[in-house]
Amino acid sequence: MIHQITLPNSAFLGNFEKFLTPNTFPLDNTKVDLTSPYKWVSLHPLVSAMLAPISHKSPFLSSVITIHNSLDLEDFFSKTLPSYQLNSQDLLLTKYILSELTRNTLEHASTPDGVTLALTHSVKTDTLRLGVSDRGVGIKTTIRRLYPDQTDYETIITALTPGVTGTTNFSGGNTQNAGAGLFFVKSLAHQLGSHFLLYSGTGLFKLLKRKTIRSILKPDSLEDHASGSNDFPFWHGTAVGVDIPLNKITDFNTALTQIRAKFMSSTEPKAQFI
Amino acid sequence: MTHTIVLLPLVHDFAQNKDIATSIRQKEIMPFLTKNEEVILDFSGITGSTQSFIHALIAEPLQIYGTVALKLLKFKSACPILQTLIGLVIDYSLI
Repeated sequence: MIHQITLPNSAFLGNFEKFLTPNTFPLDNTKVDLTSPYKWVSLHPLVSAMLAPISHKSPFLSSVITIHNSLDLEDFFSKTLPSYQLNSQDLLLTKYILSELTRNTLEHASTPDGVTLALTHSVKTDTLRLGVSDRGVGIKTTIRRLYPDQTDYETIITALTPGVTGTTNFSGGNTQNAGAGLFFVKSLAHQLGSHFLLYSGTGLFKLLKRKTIRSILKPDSLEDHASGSNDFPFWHGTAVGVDIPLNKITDFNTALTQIRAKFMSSTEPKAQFI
Repeated sequence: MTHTIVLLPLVHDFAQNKDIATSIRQKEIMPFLTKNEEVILDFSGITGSTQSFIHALIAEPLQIYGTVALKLLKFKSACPILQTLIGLVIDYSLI
Protein backbone atom coordinates (compact mmCIF):
# COMPACT_ATOMS: atom_id res chain seq x y z
CA MET A 1 0.00 0.00 0.00
CA ILE A 2 1.31 3.43 -0.94
CA HIS A 3 1.74 5.81 1.97
CA GLN A 4 -0.12 9.05 1.37
CA ILE A 5 0.19 12.38 3.12
CA THR A 6 -2.71 14.79 2.79
CA LEU A 7 -1.93 18.48 2.69
CA PRO A 8 -4.30 21.14 4.03
CA ASN A 9 -4.96 24.29 2.03
CA SER A 10 -2.81 26.23 4.44
CA ALA A 11 -0.20 25.28 7.02
CA PHE A 12 2.12 27.79 8.64
CA LEU A 13 3.76 27.71 12.03
CA GLY A 14 0.71 29.22 13.71
CA ASN A 15 -1.53 26.38 12.51
CA PHE A 16 1.06 23.69 11.83
CA GLU A 17 -1.11 21.12 13.61
CA LYS A 18 -3.44 21.19 10.60
CA PHE A 19 -0.67 19.55 8.61
CA LEU A 20 0.48 17.13 11.30
CA THR A 21 -2.67 15.80 12.94
CA PRO A 22 -4.35 14.05 9.97
CA ASN A 23 -1.14 12.38 8.83
CA THR A 24 1.40 9.75 9.78
CA PHE A 25 4.98 9.79 8.56
CA PRO A 26 7.04 6.84 7.36
CA LEU A 27 9.70 5.46 9.69
CA ASP A 28 12.12 4.85 6.82
CA ASN A 29 12.86 6.84 3.68
CA THR A 30 10.24 5.10 1.55
CA LYS A 31 8.78 7.67 -0.83
CA VAL A 32 5.24 8.82 -0.08
CA ASP A 33 2.58 10.39 -2.30
CA LEU A 34 1.34 13.87 -1.50
CA THR A 35 -2.29 14.64 -2.07
CA SER A 36 -4.64 17.48 -1.28
CA PRO A 37 -8.36 18.08 -1.77
CA TYR A 38 -7.39 21.64 -2.64
CA LYS A 39 -6.07 22.81 -5.99
CA TRP A 40 -3.87 25.43 -4.38
CA VAL A 41 -2.09 24.98 -1.11
CA SER A 42 -0.07 27.48 0.86
CA LEU A 43 2.58 25.89 3.05
CA HIS A 44 5.36 26.97 5.37
CA PRO A 45 8.76 25.95 3.98
CA LEU A 46 9.17 23.65 6.99
CA VAL A 47 6.58 21.38 5.34
CA SER A 48 8.74 21.26 2.21
CA ALA A 49 11.90 20.65 4.23
CA MET A 50 10.23 17.72 6.00
CA LEU A 51 8.51 16.14 3.02
CA ALA A 52 10.91 16.68 0.10
CA PRO A 53 13.32 13.89 1.16
CA ILE A 54 10.53 11.35 1.64
CA SER A 55 8.08 12.17 -1.14
CA HIS A 56 7.83 11.89 -4.87
CA LYS A 57 8.30 15.15 -6.71
CA SER A 58 5.33 17.37 -6.03
CA PRO A 59 4.17 20.82 -7.18
CA PHE A 60 2.90 21.43 -3.66
CA LEU A 61 6.41 21.80 -2.27
CA SER A 62 8.79 24.72 -2.53
CA SER A 63 12.41 24.13 -3.50
CA VAL A 64 14.76 22.76 -0.87
CA ILE A 65 18.49 22.39 -0.49
CA THR A 66 20.38 19.61 1.23
CA ILE A 67 23.26 20.53 3.51
CA HIS A 68 25.86 17.87 4.32
CA ASN A 69 28.51 20.03 5.93
CA SER A 70 29.48 23.59 6.80
CA LEU A 71 30.96 24.14 3.33
CA ASP A 72 27.55 23.46 1.76
CA LEU A 73 26.09 26.08 4.07
CA GLU A 74 28.85 28.53 3.14
CA ASP A 75 27.94 27.92 -0.50
CA PHE A 76 24.28 28.60 0.25
CA PHE A 77 25.20 31.82 2.02
CA SER A 78 27.26 33.09 -0.90
CA LYS A 79 25.11 31.92 -3.83
CA THR A 80 21.47 31.79 -2.72
CA LEU A 81 20.99 34.04 0.30
CA PRO A 82 21.94 37.28 -1.55
CA SER A 83 18.86 36.85 -3.76
CA TYR A 84 16.67 37.69 -0.73
CA GLN A 85 18.28 41.15 -0.54
CA LEU A 86 18.29 41.26 3.27
CA ASN A 87 19.61 44.27 5.14
CA SER A 88 22.85 43.78 7.06
CA GLN A 89 21.20 42.99 10.43
CA ASP A 90 18.63 40.57 8.98
CA LEU A 91 21.41 38.88 7.03
CA LEU A 92 23.41 38.32 10.22
CA LEU A 93 20.31 37.08 12.02
CA THR A 94 19.42 34.66 9.22
CA LYS A 95 22.95 33.32 8.92
CA TYR A 96 23.12 32.90 12.69
CA ILE A 97 19.88 30.91 12.90
CA LEU A 98 20.62 28.73 9.88
CA SER A 99 24.16 28.05 11.06
CA GLU A 100 23.11 26.96 14.54
CA LEU A 101 20.21 24.82 13.34
CA THR A 102 22.09 23.02 10.57
CA ARG A 103 25.15 22.49 12.72
CA ASN A 104 23.00 21.03 15.48
CA THR A 105 21.66 18.45 13.05
CA LEU A 106 25.01 17.65 11.49
CA GLU A 107 26.47 16.96 14.93
CA HIS A 108 23.61 15.24 16.71
CA ALA A 109 21.24 13.64 14.19
CA SER A 110 23.53 10.73 13.28
CA THR A 111 22.33 10.55 9.69
CA PRO A 112 24.35 10.49 6.46
CA ASP A 113 21.50 12.23 4.63
CA GLY A 114 22.31 15.65 6.02
CA VAL A 115 19.79 18.37 6.72
CA THR A 116 17.12 19.75 4.42
CA LEU A 117 16.62 23.47 4.37
CA ALA A 118 13.90 25.62 2.79
CA LEU A 119 13.24 29.36 2.79
CA THR A 120 10.45 31.51 1.49
CA HIS A 121 9.88 35.23 1.65
CA SER A 122 6.36 36.50 2.21
CA VAL A 123 6.07 39.86 0.50
CA LYS A 124 2.71 40.49 2.12
CA THR A 125 4.04 40.26 5.69
CA ASP A 126 7.71 40.95 4.85
CA THR A 127 8.68 37.79 6.68
CA LEU A 128 11.42 35.31 5.91
CA ARG A 129 10.23 31.82 6.76
CA LEU A 130 12.80 29.13 7.47
CA GLY A 131 12.42 25.36 7.68
CA VAL A 132 15.20 22.98 8.70
CA SER A 133 14.56 19.26 8.96
CA ASP A 134 16.39 15.97 9.25
CA ARG A 135 15.57 12.26 9.34
CA GLY A 136 18.04 11.47 12.08
CA VAL A 137 17.71 9.94 15.52
CA GLY A 138 15.74 12.81 17.08
CA ILE A 139 16.28 14.81 20.25
CA LYS A 140 15.15 12.09 22.65
CA THR A 141 17.81 9.66 21.45
CA THR A 142 20.45 12.39 21.47
CA ILE A 143 20.00 13.29 25.12
CA ARG A 144 18.65 9.95 26.36
CA ARG A 145 21.91 9.11 28.11
CA LEU A 146 21.49 12.04 30.47
CA TYR A 147 17.68 12.14 30.65
CA PRO A 148 16.53 8.55 30.15
CA ASP A 149 12.97 8.85 31.44
CA GLN A 150 11.78 11.90 29.55
CA THR A 151 9.16 11.87 26.79
CA ASP A 152 9.85 13.44 23.40
CA TYR A 153 8.15 16.66 24.49
CA GLU A 154 10.06 16.77 27.76
CA THR A 155 13.37 16.27 25.95
CA ILE A 156 12.51 19.16 23.63
CA ILE A 157 11.96 21.39 26.67
CA THR A 158 15.22 20.10 28.14
CA ALA A 159 17.11 20.71 24.90
CA LEU A 160 15.90 24.31 24.89
CA THR A 161 17.20 24.87 28.42
CA PRO A 162 20.36 26.99 28.63
CA GLY A 163 23.44 24.89 29.31
CA VAL A 164 21.92 21.53 28.43
CA THR A 165 23.71 19.55 25.76
CA GLY A 166 23.35 15.91 24.85
CA THR A 167 27.07 15.41 24.97
CA THR A 168 27.83 16.30 28.57
CA ASN A 169 26.25 17.56 31.77
CA PHE A 170 29.43 19.39 32.73
CA SER A 171 28.74 23.07 33.44
CA GLY A 172 30.14 25.09 30.55
CA GLY A 173 29.89 22.14 28.18
CA ASN A 174 32.78 20.22 26.65
CA THR A 175 35.28 21.28 24.01
CA GLN A 176 32.65 21.24 21.24
CA ASN A 177 29.26 22.08 22.78
CA ALA A 178 27.80 24.26 25.50
CA GLY A 179 24.06 23.70 25.14
CA ALA A 180 23.38 27.24 23.97
CA GLY A 181 22.51 26.88 20.27
CA LEU A 182 18.80 26.06 20.46
CA PHE A 183 18.24 28.42 23.39
CA PHE A 184 19.75 31.28 21.40
CA VAL A 185 17.63 30.55 18.32
CA LYS A 186 14.43 30.31 20.34
CA SER A 187 15.36 33.49 22.20
CA LEU A 188 15.97 35.36 18.95
CA ALA A 189 12.49 34.35 17.79
CA HIS A 190 11.15 35.50 21.17
CA GLN A 191 12.75 38.91 20.75
CA LEU A 192 11.20 39.18 17.31
CA GLY A 193 7.83 38.29 18.83
CA SER A 194 7.70 35.56 16.22
CA HIS A 195 6.99 31.88 15.81
CA PHE A 196 9.55 29.19 16.61
CA LEU A 197 8.58 25.52 16.27
CA LEU A 198 10.57 22.48 17.32
CA TYR A 199 9.21 19.02 16.50
CA SER A 200 10.85 15.67 17.18
CA GLY A 201 9.42 12.19 17.75
CA THR A 202 5.90 12.75 19.02
CA GLY A 203 6.75 16.00 20.78
CA LEU A 204 6.15 19.51 19.54
CA PHE A 205 6.98 22.87 21.12
CA LYS A 206 5.77 26.08 19.54
CA LEU A 207 6.65 29.58 20.64
CA LEU A 208 3.61 31.65 19.77
CA LYS A 209 3.57 34.95 18.02
CA ARG A 210 3.22 37.92 20.35
CA LYS A 211 1.37 41.12 19.63
CA THR A 212 3.08 43.03 22.43
CA ILE A 213 6.69 43.94 21.87
CA ARG A 214 7.81 43.85 25.49
CA SER A 215 8.21 40.47 27.07
CA ILE A 216 10.76 39.02 29.44
CA LEU A 217 13.09 36.40 28.05
CA LYS A 218 12.71 33.22 30.07
CA PRO A 219 15.20 30.37 30.45
CA ASP A 220 12.46 27.83 31.17
CA SER A 221 10.53 27.17 27.95
CA LEU A 222 7.53 25.96 29.96
CA GLU A 223 7.09 29.59 31.05
CA ASP A 224 7.09 30.89 27.48
CA HIS A 225 4.00 32.08 25.64
CA ALA A 226 3.94 28.74 23.85
CA SER A 227 2.01 25.58 23.12
CA GLY A 228 3.06 21.98 22.79
CA SER A 229 2.44 18.40 23.76
CA ASN A 230 3.62 14.85 23.28
CA ASP A 231 0.79 13.45 21.18
CA PHE A 232 1.68 14.27 17.60
CA PRO A 233 2.37 11.77 14.80
CA PHE A 234 5.87 10.33 15.16
CA TRP A 235 8.50 12.20 13.14
CA HIS A 236 11.72 10.26 12.72
CA GLY A 237 14.17 13.10 13.24
CA THR A 238 13.93 16.75 14.13
CA ALA A 239 12.22 19.64 12.36
CA VAL A 240 12.55 23.32 13.19
CA GLY A 241 10.67 26.28 11.78
CA VAL A 242 11.37 29.95 12.43
CA ASP A 243 9.73 33.07 11.07
CA ILE A 244 11.85 36.19 10.80
CA PRO A 245 9.91 39.44 10.40
CA LEU A 246 12.30 41.53 8.33
CA ASN A 247 13.52 45.04 9.11
CA LYS A 248 12.55 44.60 12.77
CA ILE A 249 15.93 44.12 14.45
CA THR A 250 17.97 47.29 14.18
CA ASP A 251 21.01 45.95 16.01
CA PHE A 252 21.67 42.23 16.06
CA ASN A 253 24.32 42.64 18.73
CA THR A 254 21.83 44.19 21.16
CA ALA A 255 19.64 41.10 20.77
CA LEU A 256 22.62 38.80 21.36
CA THR A 257 23.72 40.80 24.39
CA GLN A 258 20.32 40.40 26.06
CA ILE A 259 20.30 36.66 25.40
CA ARG A 260 23.85 36.37 26.70
CA ALA A 261 22.79 37.98 29.98
CA LYS A 262 19.85 35.60 30.33
CA PHE A 263 21.99 32.59 29.44
CA MET A 264 24.56 33.46 32.08
CA SER A 265 22.03 34.23 34.80
CA SER A 266 20.47 30.82 34.30
CA THR A 267 23.66 28.76 34.10
CA GLU A 268 25.71 30.29 36.92
CA PRO A 269 26.08 27.85 39.76
CA LYS A 270 23.68 28.76 42.52
CA ALA A 271 25.00 28.87 46.07
CA GLN A 272 23.33 26.39 48.38
CA PHE A 273 22.83 28.09 51.72
CA ILE A 274 21.96 25.69 54.50
CA MET B 1 56.96 34.75 21.31
CA THR B 2 53.59 35.68 19.77
CA HIS B 3 51.63 33.58 17.30
CA THR B 4 49.06 35.46 15.16
CA ILE B 5 46.18 33.71 13.41
CA VAL B 6 44.38 35.70 10.72
CA LEU B 7 40.92 34.16 10.58
CA LEU B 8 39.24 35.78 7.55
CA PRO B 9 40.93 33.64 4.87
CA LEU B 10 39.98 30.53 6.84
CA VAL B 11 36.34 31.23 7.76
CA HIS B 12 35.06 34.03 5.47
CA ASP B 13 33.11 37.04 6.75
CA PHE B 14 30.56 35.00 8.75
CA ALA B 15 32.46 32.51 10.88
CA GLN B 16 30.28 29.42 11.33
CA ASN B 17 32.37 26.40 10.35
CA LYS B 18 33.05 24.56 13.61
CA ASP B 19 35.28 22.02 11.89
CA ILE B 20 37.67 24.82 10.99
CA ALA B 21 37.35 26.32 14.48
CA THR B 22 38.25 22.96 15.98
CA SER B 23 41.22 22.55 13.67
CA ILE B 24 42.51 26.05 14.51
CA ARG B 25 42.11 25.36 18.22
CA GLN B 26 43.90 22.04 18.07
CA LYS B 27 46.71 23.00 15.68
CA GLU B 28 47.18 26.73 16.13
CA ILE B 29 46.03 27.65 19.62
CA MET B 30 46.58 24.82 22.09
CA PRO B 31 50.20 23.99 21.13
CA PHE B 32 51.27 27.60 21.73
CA LEU B 33 49.31 28.08 24.94
CA THR B 34 50.85 24.85 26.23
CA LYS B 35 54.27 26.50 25.75
CA ASN B 36 53.01 29.61 27.58
CA GLU B 37 53.18 31.66 24.38
CA GLU B 38 50.80 34.43 23.40
CA VAL B 39 48.22 33.78 20.65
CA ILE B 40 46.53 36.64 18.79
CA LEU B 41 43.26 35.79 17.06
CA ASP B 42 42.85 38.39 14.33
CA PHE B 43 39.16 38.82 13.42
CA SER B 44 39.70 41.64 10.89
CA GLY B 45 37.00 41.58 8.21
CA ILE B 46 34.72 39.15 10.04
CA THR B 47 31.26 40.65 10.55
CA GLY B 48 29.54 37.88 12.46
CA SER B 49 29.76 34.43 13.94
CA THR B 50 27.86 31.96 16.10
CA GLN B 51 28.23 31.07 19.74
CA SER B 52 28.99 27.50 18.61
CA PHE B 53 31.91 28.62 16.46
CA ILE B 54 33.47 30.76 19.19
CA HIS B 55 32.93 27.92 21.67
CA ALA B 56 34.73 25.44 19.42
CA LEU B 57 37.54 27.97 18.98
CA ILE B 58 38.33 28.99 22.56
CA ALA B 59 36.34 27.04 25.17
CA GLU B 60 38.87 24.23 25.59
CA PRO B 61 41.87 26.41 26.51
CA LEU B 62 39.66 28.36 28.92
CA GLN B 63 38.38 25.15 30.50
CA ILE B 64 41.90 23.74 30.85
CA TYR B 65 44.02 26.78 31.69
CA GLY B 66 41.38 29.09 33.18
CA THR B 67 42.37 32.73 33.59
CA VAL B 68 45.94 31.94 32.46
CA ALA B 69 44.50 31.32 28.96
CA LEU B 70 42.85 34.74 29.10
CA LYS B 71 46.22 36.38 29.63
CA LEU B 72 47.75 34.57 26.67
CA LEU B 73 44.82 34.86 24.24
CA LYS B 74 44.32 38.21 22.52
CA PHE B 75 41.36 39.11 20.31
CA LYS B 76 42.23 41.61 17.61
CA SER B 77 39.68 43.67 15.63
CA ALA B 78 36.66 41.81 17.00
CA CYS B 79 33.43 43.60 16.03
CA PRO B 80 30.75 44.10 18.76
CA ILE B 81 28.95 40.86 17.83
CA LEU B 82 32.18 38.90 18.17
CA GLN B 83 32.96 40.66 21.43
CA THR B 84 29.57 39.63 22.80
CA LEU B 85 30.04 35.99 21.77
CA ILE B 86 33.65 35.84 22.99
CA GLY B 87 32.57 37.38 26.30
CA LEU B 88 29.79 34.81 26.65
CA VAL B 89 32.07 31.84 26.01
CA ILE B 90 34.64 33.22 28.47
CA ASP B 91 31.93 33.77 31.08
CA TYR B 92 30.56 30.25 31.08
CA SER B 93 33.87 28.49 30.46
CA LEU B 94 35.38 30.01 33.59
CA ILE B 95 32.47 29.11 35.87
